[in-house]
Amino acid sequence: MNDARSDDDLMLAYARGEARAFEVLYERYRQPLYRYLFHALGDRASADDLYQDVWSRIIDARTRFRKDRGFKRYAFRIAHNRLVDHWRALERQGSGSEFDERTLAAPAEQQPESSNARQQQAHQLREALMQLSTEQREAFLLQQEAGLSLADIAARSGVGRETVKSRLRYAVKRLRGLLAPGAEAAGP
Amino acid sequence: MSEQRKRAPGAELEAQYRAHGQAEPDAGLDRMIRARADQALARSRPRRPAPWIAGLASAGALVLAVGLIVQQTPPAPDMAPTAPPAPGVSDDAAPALRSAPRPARSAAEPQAGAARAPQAEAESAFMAELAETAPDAAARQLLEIRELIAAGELKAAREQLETLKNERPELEIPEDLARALKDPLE
Repeated sequence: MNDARSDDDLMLAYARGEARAFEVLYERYRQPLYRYLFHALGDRASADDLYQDVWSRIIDARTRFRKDRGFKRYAFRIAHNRLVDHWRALERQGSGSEFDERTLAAPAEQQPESSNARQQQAHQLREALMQLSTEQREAFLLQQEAGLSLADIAARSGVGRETVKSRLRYAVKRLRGLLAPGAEAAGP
Repeated sequence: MSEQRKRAPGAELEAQYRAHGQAEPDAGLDRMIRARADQALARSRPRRPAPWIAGLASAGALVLAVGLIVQQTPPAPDMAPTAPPAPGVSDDAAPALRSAPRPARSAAEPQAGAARAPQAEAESAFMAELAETAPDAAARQLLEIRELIAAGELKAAREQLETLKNERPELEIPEDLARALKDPLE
C-alpha cells in the first residue's frame, strides 16, 4: 500500500472522510503499536484489548487531530497512557502484572515454517522483557517501537531525562545478560 | 555522545529484538478496527436524500391537499350522510358536525399520549445517556476541575486534571486552567 503522504497528512485526510488514508496509516502502525503493547504486557488477550482501545480513541478523536502533534508521538502517547491505566487498575485489584508464561501467545509458534530455534529465541526475548521492571520495559519499548528520544520518553513518563537514561541503561544491561548465549532466564 | 548514540541501547540487542520480537494483531482484530474506522466515517457523513424522495414528497402533498378539499366540502343537500348522526343531533347539524373535530377522538388523544409518555421518557433517557459523547464527558470533567479550583482544592484539581490528561491525551486543556494548576514546584 504505497502512499507518499506523511502520517499526519494521512490522519488529516482520514478526518476529512478519506477511508483509504486510514488504511495506509493503519498498515504503517499496526505492528509497532501492537508490539509495543504486547511486549509491555506479555499477554496477548490484554494486548488485544488495549490495542483495540487505542485505535478506537484515535478514530474517535480524528477531527481533533492537529498536524503539529505528530501522529507517531500521538499514537504512542495514547498507547502509553492506556498501559498506565491498565497497570493502575491491576494494582487497585491487588493483582500484580507478573509474567505468566501461560498467558503469552506465541505468534512465531503459530507459523509452521518457524524453526524450533527461532521459536525458542522469541520466547526467550519475551521472557527477558517481562523480567524488567515496568518502567524499564516501557522505556525500552518506547525507544524501540516509537523511536522516541530520551527527552520524549521522559516527558511521557513524567520523569527526568537522566532517570530515563538510567532505566534504559539498566534495561539493556539486564536484557543482554538474560539473552546472552547460555544464560538461563531466572524467575521474576 | 550524540543523541543518536544515546538512542541506540546496543546494536546487537536491537537486532535481536527486531529479529525475535515480532508480534502482530490477528486478522480478526484488524478487521474489527478497520470496520470501526469505516463506520465512524459513515456516521459522520451527511446523509443525502434519495433522488426519489422529492417525487414521493410532492405526490404525498398532492394527495393530502386533495383529501383536505374533499373533506371540507359540505355534502350536497340531496346526499344524505352515510353514517347516522349522533343521537340528539338534527340532520341539519350533520354538515357542521362533519367538519368540526370529533370530540371522541380529541378526548382519546391525550390518553394515548399519556400511555406513550413513560416509554418516551425511558427512550429519551437512554438517548441522553448515549448522547453524552466523549467531548461532553470531558467538558463536564473540566467543569468539575474549575469547581475544585474555585473551592480552593488545588491538589484535588491537579490530580483530576492529570487523570483527564491521561485518559484523553487528545484533549486541549484550556490555558487558563493549565496556568491555574501549574505546580509551583515545577
